[in-house]
Amino acid sequence: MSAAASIGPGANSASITPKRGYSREQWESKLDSVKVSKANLNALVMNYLIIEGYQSAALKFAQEANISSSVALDSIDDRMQIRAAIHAGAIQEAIERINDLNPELLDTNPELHFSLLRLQLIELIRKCTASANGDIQPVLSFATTHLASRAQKNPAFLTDLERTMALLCFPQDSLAPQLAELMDPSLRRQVAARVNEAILEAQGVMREAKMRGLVRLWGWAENALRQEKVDFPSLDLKNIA
Amino acid sequence: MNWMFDHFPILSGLSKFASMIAEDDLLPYLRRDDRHGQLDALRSLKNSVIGHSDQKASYLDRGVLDDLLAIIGTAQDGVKDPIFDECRIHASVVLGSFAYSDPEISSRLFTPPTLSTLVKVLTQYSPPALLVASLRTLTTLLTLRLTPSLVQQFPHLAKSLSELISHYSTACFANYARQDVQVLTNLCTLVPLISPSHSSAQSVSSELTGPLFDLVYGSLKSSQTSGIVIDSKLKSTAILALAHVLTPTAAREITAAGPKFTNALLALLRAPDTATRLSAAALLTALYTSGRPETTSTSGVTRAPQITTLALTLVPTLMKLLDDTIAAPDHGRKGDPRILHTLAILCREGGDVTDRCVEAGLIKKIVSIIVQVAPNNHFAPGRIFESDGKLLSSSLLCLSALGLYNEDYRKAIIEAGALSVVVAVMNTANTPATREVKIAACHVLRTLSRSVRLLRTTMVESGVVCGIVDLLGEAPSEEERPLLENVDNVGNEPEQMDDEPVHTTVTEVAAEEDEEEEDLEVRTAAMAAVCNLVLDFSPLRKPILDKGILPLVVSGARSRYTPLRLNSTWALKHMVFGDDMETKACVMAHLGFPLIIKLCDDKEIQVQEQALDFLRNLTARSETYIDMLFDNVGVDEVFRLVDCKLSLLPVPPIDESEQELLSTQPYYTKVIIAAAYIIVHIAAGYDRHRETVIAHEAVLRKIVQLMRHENYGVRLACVWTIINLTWVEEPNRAPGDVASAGQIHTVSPAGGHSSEQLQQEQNISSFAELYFADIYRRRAMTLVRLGAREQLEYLKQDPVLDVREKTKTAIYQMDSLVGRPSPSAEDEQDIEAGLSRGVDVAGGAMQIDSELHA
Repeated sequence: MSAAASIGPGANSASITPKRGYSREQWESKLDSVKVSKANLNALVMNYLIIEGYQSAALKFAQEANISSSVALDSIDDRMQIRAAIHAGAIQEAIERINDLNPELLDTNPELHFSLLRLQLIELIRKCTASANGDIQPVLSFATTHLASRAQKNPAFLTDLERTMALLCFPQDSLAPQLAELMDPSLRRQVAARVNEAILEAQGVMREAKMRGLVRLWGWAENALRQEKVDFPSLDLKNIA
Repeated sequence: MNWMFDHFPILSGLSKFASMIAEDDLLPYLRRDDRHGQLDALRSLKNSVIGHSDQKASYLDRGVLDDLLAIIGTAQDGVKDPIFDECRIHASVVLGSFAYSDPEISSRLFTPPTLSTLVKVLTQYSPPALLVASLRTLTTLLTLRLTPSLVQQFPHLAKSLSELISHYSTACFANYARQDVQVLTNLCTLVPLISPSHSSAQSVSSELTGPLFDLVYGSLKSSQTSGIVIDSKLKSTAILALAHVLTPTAAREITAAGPKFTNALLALLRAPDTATRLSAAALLTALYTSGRPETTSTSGVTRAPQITTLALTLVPTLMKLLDDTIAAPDHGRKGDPRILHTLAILCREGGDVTDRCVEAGLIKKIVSIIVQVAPNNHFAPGRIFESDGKLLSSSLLCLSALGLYNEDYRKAIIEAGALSVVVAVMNTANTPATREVKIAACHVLRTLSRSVRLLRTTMVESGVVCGIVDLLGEAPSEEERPLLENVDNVGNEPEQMDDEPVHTTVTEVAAEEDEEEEDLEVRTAAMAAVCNLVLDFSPLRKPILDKGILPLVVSGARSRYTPLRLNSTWALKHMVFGDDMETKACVMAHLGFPLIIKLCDDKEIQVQEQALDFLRNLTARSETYIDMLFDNVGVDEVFRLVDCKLSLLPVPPIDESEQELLSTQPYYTKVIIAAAYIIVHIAAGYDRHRETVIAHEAVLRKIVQLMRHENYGVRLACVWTIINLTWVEEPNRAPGDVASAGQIHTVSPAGGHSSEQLQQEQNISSFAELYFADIYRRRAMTLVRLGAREQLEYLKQDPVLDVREKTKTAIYQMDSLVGRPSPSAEDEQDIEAGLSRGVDVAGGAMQIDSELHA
């Protein structure tokens, strides 16, 4: 992209403020003159792989780039297993894995704990309503032991609990939409995502990779240059993807 | 506060286990010798208590705490059994979970063996996973309720932490392992918690500063080369821990080493995560200011010049952090005590820093934070918990710092309703959580009392008196001897003054102080607030004295705790400022001369200054107290004391690194000034008092020498001495030695006597006039012989107007006595107008904490 001809007043006469612009070659050589250390570049890539959850790629990259293994790297696997357990409806397993990974998480995050317990209740209800003469007793005792006292202290929990218990009263195939969504697997995915975020946050890991921030910064700088009417080849994300 | 936790290898298949042992049967398994059964039971226990408050209460009722502590506390000897350590780790995790529950439940953990068992884990060789679990539990417990004496209780704790930090730092930098990072992060979190008070932080400083600095420095370097995202957490906790234990000396050593470290910290002010930005701001503040706001005594602070520039960067960073916590409250609470605490330290620097903060609306923001902790200024008894307490105390500290140097800001603080909060805080029940809050409340009070207007208006109404006297009275005096014993001792020989209990050994004294150190800090802060409230123009003075504060202040002046002794002596000084003879008598009845003379020779130079200022105020315009001083202490002893203070020379620092000494130098000058004014005031007494001064030539010689002192205050005091010694007594006063001794004589301004009085006076014996004229002349001759006349000649060119003016008066008086030619007519006019007794203007000493006339 070379400098465009300008048609503004005074363009034909000797220009007072010469138009600034860079050809692609000039631009590239300018970019090349900025030295980014190999270590920084590796760090950036590693950061991206960890946060986006590419565990095997991250491990390989760490080996090849000779980066010491990182705390967050180890926990990727744990996070994936917890997510898988929730997706599969194995909520007790997920809770125990969470307690192993970070014993403080559920103690300090009652909302998250409640939503896991409710999911567990839903799974019990699913089991009980699956057969015609399913035993309702485990559902009732779980709700009484683990959820009733929480619901007493928190009105939002109470509403959620009541709605969940209503599942017992209706046949599974003709649920009102409000109730049907409780049985939908998307609720599991929703809770799993929240658990993942909570773990990441507890580890002090930012939810966004540094690279994304840099791309936004690039965009901001391009805008700033354009406002100054500087001509330059802009970054096309398609080219670097 | 969250910790990542290890994923133990023996966990697979666990989810099936929960149903294997019924929950009711868990406890017997814990008590058996079968390690595997124990481990399984502990895992079940862990999963059944985490997040389940009712379960926690039920297990505690059944005595699970003892079982857990027994498991954690048993160290294995001989062959290492991994299962054994697994059990201890899990028991520790379960214990940690109990700490996260309602205060009613968690408070049951604070029975004696809990903390000592956890501390023991740290002081033995323990595997990293066990360290992490125990550290996590310990920090959780200490966050809930600070145990102030933890470092005193466990004297080896600081050393163990120091060794652990060094060991794991080395391991961490060599081979970045997740567990090492966890141990380090937890260790750093623990550091401020084991040493919450200023004194305890100072006591662990020598052990911990080195390893923490190495860790911070190493992590600043390594973060440039490794891509690890997580280490921001380790970095920020390590930086905060270093900021917490940093002493001024260590701060100077670090900053003197070059700008590299500072620059790295400045770069962190733009870090993406708030914890790192906050920690960097806190450490920079600790590096470049003179210390923590709640501990600086009533004296002014010495400021590093860099801080003003640095504050331009730090204030916006901190204000942004504070705004963020207000916009998105953490756990429903706006504000973060660490941000407010750092702002408070910065604001103490005054000037630009406070202006910027106030412009950014800091006062209103703080008030909005206070309101959420204490709606309607109401605190239910015992309901200030640790976290709220910290938020409240840092908010109040910040307010006190904002108002320190500016009357308008004090007004804004009052208008925002802070005083009622202060009064409410002072009246809450005493818990560990309220202690720091009360200290902070005292600081606000002290700041507000700097305003004469507020002192006379708002403060009168607010119930301050009861609160502050109660605070001083709450903690029992550290010495149990009768407080009033000196009432009878006034006039007794000085041998009886030193009533230190001889049988107490040094170590016993230290232990005694340690136990009460936290209470002493509260009393010290309360005493600082009292200082201005008891000045003679304060309407609160009488009610406070009526509440019986004097014995409390006197007992504070006896304290072995230097800050309390300093502030108490200061309060006493302010009590005897002014002409209120009744109060002076009352103070002396409680205090007695032996104690005040002892304080004049205190090891701490600032206490000496206050004690000498006390004598200066006591003897101002009061021949009675000059006599009393001479009778009780002995004339020669008084002059010996003054002589020794006038000879005081600050120890010159040998090199730049000894700046600690430089910062105390102003106090040496202040001691000289205070001592000189005692002489000024004695010389303003009766003729026989002046005779004592003339008779002590050694002191006079010092005074004459000091007329060339670099500090104009010293020069001025010396000139006043000359003026008072060459003063020609009016005829009716001359024989006062006999006739009017003991009367309280109010010095009249020149021309104050009526013409009838003058007539009467002239009729009194002309013989006496001649007799005394000779005495006056001899005095003047003595001064001339000692070189005072030459010195005065030199001071005519003094750069300070006040000194020049007083010099003219002194020269005029001296020359008229020794019969030198009179000065020119013009000068004479000036001098007549300026003629006055030194005591009128060079009166009391109260200017130091006041700004009262600002």
